[in-house]
Amino acid sequence: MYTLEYKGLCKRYGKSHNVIDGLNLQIPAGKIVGILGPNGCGKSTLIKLTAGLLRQNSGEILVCGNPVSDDTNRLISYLPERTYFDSNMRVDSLMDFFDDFYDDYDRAKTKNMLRELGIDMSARLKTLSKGTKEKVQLVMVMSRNAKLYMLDEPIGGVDPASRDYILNTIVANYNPDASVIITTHLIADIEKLLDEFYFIGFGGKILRGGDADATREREGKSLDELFREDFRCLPNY
Amino acid sequence: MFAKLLKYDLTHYIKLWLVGAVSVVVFGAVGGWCHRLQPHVPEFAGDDFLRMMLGSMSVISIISIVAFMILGVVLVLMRYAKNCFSDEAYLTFTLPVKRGYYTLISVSLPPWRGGTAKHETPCPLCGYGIITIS
Repeated sequence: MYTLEYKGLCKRYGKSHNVIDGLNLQIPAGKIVGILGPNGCGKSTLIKLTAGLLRQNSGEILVCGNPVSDDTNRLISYLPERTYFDSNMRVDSLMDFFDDFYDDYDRAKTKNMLRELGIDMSARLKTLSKGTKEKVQLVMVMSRNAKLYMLDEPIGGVDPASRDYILNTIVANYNPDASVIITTHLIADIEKLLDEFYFIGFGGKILRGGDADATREREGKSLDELFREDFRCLPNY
Repeated sequence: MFAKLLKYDLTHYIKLWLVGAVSVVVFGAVGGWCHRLQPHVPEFAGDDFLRMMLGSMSVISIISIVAFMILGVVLVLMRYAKNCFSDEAYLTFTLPVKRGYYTLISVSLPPWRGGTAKHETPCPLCGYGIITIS
């Protein structure tokens, strides 16, 4: 069984803007998969559809064989591209919150990671810098033993040293039986940890995809170079 | 899950709500005391200013009840908007909680029902009425 399946997925904004048009994709368990594409191609829309934040116009999304619903939220650990916790909350209150709502949350893991980062657990989120807030968010999300991790632009807007930390945290802390989906346009940083990748063009069309190592070997180029070739500045296609 | 949602929603505005509730009780007690005292003002040589002040306190106590009820409505609506229409909605709608619970919480929390004045039970301080927050 695949962790995530998209069958004929279509999503339209307004009457004529087809962001995703007939996407078919299967994500196996235990893989780190990169959904890579230019700005506005539908990466975040795809993630939000899977998380249940948006509803598709047609098609099906199956998470561990189940259609997306309030119940599949138990299986998914989602990191959006923006700060989404109440800024008045303290870090330890946030840990209590996750403890209350998620059965798979590992509090000890969070404490260890926060201690490594030197973050005061009694600090309010609004007193932390943007980068530190993003790290706290990532730590909370990766502390869950979910079946599917969805990280939407996890390294956008942070310094290069923090990017390395974030990527190392993802690799070191995810449930090995789970799948991780990362959407980003910062290919060079992320490609070293991808098992599989998919280049998504406008309309949600898959332009290229498969095993990352095999593709690099076959093409003799990095994913970043392939991305730049495939998406060089042309009119929308 | 509903109880947990309720707990977290309450913690967000319980301080402000308590300040409003205490204010209503204090104003209610003072206003009731002033209302009881007012008929006795001629005993103090007919001081019109004093009578006006006492009457004003009674009016203020009633206004405080209305303001508290409005505060309750505003707090609930603000919290609902923050939960559902701000960046916090990314957290709200990815929790393993039925969507209908968010609306149910908004109509069942105490601030909606705050500021009910019951006049049947006399206040031990003023004998006028007791403000009960239900």
